[in-house]
Amino acid sequence: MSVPIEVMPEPPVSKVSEEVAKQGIKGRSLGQIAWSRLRRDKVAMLSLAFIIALLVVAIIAPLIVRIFGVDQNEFNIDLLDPDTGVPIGPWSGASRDHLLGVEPNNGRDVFARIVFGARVSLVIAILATVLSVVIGVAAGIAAGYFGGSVDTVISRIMDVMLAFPVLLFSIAILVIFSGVESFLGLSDVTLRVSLMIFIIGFFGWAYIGRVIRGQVLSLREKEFIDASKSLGAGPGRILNKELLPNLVAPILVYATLTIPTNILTEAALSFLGVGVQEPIPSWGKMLATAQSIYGIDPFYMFVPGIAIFITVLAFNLFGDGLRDALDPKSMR
Amino acid sequence: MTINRRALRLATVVAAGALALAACSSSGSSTSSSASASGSGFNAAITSVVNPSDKTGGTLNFGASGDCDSWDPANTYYGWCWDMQRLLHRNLMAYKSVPGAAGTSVIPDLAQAAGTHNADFTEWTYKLQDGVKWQDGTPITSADVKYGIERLFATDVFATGAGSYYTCILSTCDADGAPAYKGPYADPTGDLPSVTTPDAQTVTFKLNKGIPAFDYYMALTTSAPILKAKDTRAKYTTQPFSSGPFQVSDYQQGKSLTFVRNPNWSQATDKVRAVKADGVKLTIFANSDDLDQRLKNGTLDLVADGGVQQAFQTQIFTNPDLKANADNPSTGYTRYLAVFQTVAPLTNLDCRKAIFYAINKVSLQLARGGKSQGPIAASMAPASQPGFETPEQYNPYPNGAALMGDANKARELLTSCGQPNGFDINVAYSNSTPKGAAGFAAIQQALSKVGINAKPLPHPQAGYYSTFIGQPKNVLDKKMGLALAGWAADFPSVNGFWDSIVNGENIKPTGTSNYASLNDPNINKWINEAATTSDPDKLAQLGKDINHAVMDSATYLPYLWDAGLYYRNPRLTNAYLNQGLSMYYDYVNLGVSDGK
Repeated sequence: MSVPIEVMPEPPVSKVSEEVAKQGIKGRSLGQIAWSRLRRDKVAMLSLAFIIALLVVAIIAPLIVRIFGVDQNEFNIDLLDPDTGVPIGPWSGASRDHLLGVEPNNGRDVFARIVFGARVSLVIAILATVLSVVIGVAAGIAAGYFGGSVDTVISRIMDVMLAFPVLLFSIAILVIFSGVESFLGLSDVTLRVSLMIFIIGFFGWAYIGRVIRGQVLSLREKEFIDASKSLGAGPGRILNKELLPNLVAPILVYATLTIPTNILTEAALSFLGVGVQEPIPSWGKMLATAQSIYGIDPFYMFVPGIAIFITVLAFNLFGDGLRDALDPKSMR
Repeated sequence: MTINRRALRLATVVAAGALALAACSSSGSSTSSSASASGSGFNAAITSVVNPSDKTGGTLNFGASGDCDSWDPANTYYGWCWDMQRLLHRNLMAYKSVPGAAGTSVIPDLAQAAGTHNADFTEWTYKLQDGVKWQDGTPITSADVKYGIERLFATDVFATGAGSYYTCILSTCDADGAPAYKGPYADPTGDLPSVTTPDAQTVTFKLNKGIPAFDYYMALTTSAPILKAKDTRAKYTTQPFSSGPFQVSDYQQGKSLTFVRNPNWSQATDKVRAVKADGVKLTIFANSDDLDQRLKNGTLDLVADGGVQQAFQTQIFTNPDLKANADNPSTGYTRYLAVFQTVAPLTNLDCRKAIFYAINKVSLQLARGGKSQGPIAASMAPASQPGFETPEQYNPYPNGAALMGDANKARELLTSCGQPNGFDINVAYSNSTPKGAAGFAAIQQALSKVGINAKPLPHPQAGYYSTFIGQPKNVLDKKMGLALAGWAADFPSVNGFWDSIVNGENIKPTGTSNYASLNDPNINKWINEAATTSDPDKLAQLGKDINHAVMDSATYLPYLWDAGLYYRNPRLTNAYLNQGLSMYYDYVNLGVSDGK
């Protein structure tokens, strides 16, 4: 007697693999991977939230000031001790009208000046960083990719820039320009801010340049570059399509880490009296005024000091988190 | 002379009473109210000698926030530097070394006696003492006296001192104020004929107008005798040659200056200086608060160039132990804004007047540190001047009930001067201390209310007066509109206060203290009259007339009559404030109690 051949029942198949079989395997892009890793980093997300909040505050500063009913330029002389010019009451004379107190000698509202000071710090620091990045990336790629004498020249220039006494030179330039009415069509505040952006940005490109140059040096030995070359790709195409995408990560990280340095440099220049001029507030300038009075009114020093500290810390922590998220070799 | 942040010079002639009033009651400063509550030493040095002692030895440690404009007597104009010069250069006459009003009289120094003069005060003769020597033992002779005066005529080398007091009375000056005698370096004859030296100890001055106060002229540092053999001209400031009790042993310009005793100075010939210390060290600190801290903890003995900063000030007022070592005198300085009438649109009187009404004097006072810095001024002449009027008596530009600015009146004037929407203006200020920038912020804020847009022109203290705002050409080049400044009388008299700052004859392209280039023939005439008048009533009237005319011209905008807050190290002996010396401590007569 013969056994009938039965058709084996199909083994159970999961829904997921069915879907996958329909769509084909789709990998996640670098961006998506990085973002999900970043999302898991609580410290970095907190810092990012703070940075975004600060940017918003800086952008809508006039609105905030109006909501709170304060003015960053108005003198409130009645809140000062007429004999010494010091704010009456503790915490720099803080009250419901003036949440963070008032400045000594002129009674201007500290909260309003901190909010507008954020503008100055962020605008100068971010634009200076953009300048540094643009110059640095261009120089770094040129040096790393073309090698030879181009590399030598650019590297030596970078050495000089890194050794330059930036602060001294900036002070000198800013002092010279303090008597200049207009230059290249810019004048007054715009001139001053542009000068600071230029100086801070121009003396900061060497750091990023070096890093990028190193990255390019290691990248250009990789096989995919050789492959492109052998397929007839010119330098332009290689730079744009092969190198740059791989450089986005370090550029982003070092840009984010340069911003706090620039914030500190701007604060230092304002502290020394060569930054933005009256009546524009700047955190550094507030610190400078505070130092003569901190024995009696320490709060006036804390406020801009903490503002600078937290801002710089936030950018640094976010930059670190970003670096960890973008680095495929890190353990996270 | 020019103010060095808190430099001072007090001048008292007939107004000794008003002076005491100003010193004690500068509108609410703590002098009278808390004299009993605080340490007994507060303000003691204004009227008495604190810690009198005969103890010798030790080194005085002075601090300053900037170097002297010059250590050459011919070229220095800071009040504190004139006081320091008592260590180095002796004069024919000198301010009496006592506190109080008596300190504004002059007594013989190198001279045997006060000058003998003819009936109309045009000829003065002095006889030098025996045994007075330079630091290398060379005797001081009348030729040195004459040479010191001749040097003042070299105005291309020495542009920033008080030489203008001497040049036109000892030589004929042309319409621009340039004397016929060109100084010992440039003049073909080299010799100034109006000063004669019949013998090595006698010197006679023939003035081309009568000056009853000529003894005071001979007490100013500017007239100090100079030894020709040691005259290194423009370099003399780095290597001054001493006729006084101390000589310079080391000078790092802008950093420090060390004085040691001059072995060839004899106490027997000197009734002005009762020297106690063995040496003096002056150190310059870039950071004024650092300076104050060292003063507070005893490393320094005093701040040579004036008062203390706001932080220390507030500590002093709240701490009785510190307050006992402090003095808060009226300094005789007027703080004001020079309003440059040579720069458009301030060429128009109404535009200038608009600023006078718009300005907020209370915020300017606060920018300096409040009422402890002195009362608000309504006119240029301070309380020590003959003919002084209080703000209640004379306030030509009443800027609001609370002196905080009358924006409406200002706008009216702006419209009538053709600038109804305001204009841009550059404001010069010294940025060596925070007070300069704070003053600028106050000006900017007040003027912005009427549409005048103030822009900053900061400059360091060194050269601020001599090359920045004191050069008429620089004023035009930089289009300066306003400049923060301070001024006190060079010596206690009407023309001692006004001559350098408002006399049109003193506007020189090489440098002037008449910053706004005011040239009113009436004012010039009255000042010259005041130099030759000794009648107190007439002087008071002249003082008043000049004050009114200056205010009418709207070129000088006063906002404060300065009071200084000084702190002395408790180890100092023989400390007192000398009114003849701009209300600074009399440096040369200080000693220390611990011998260190």
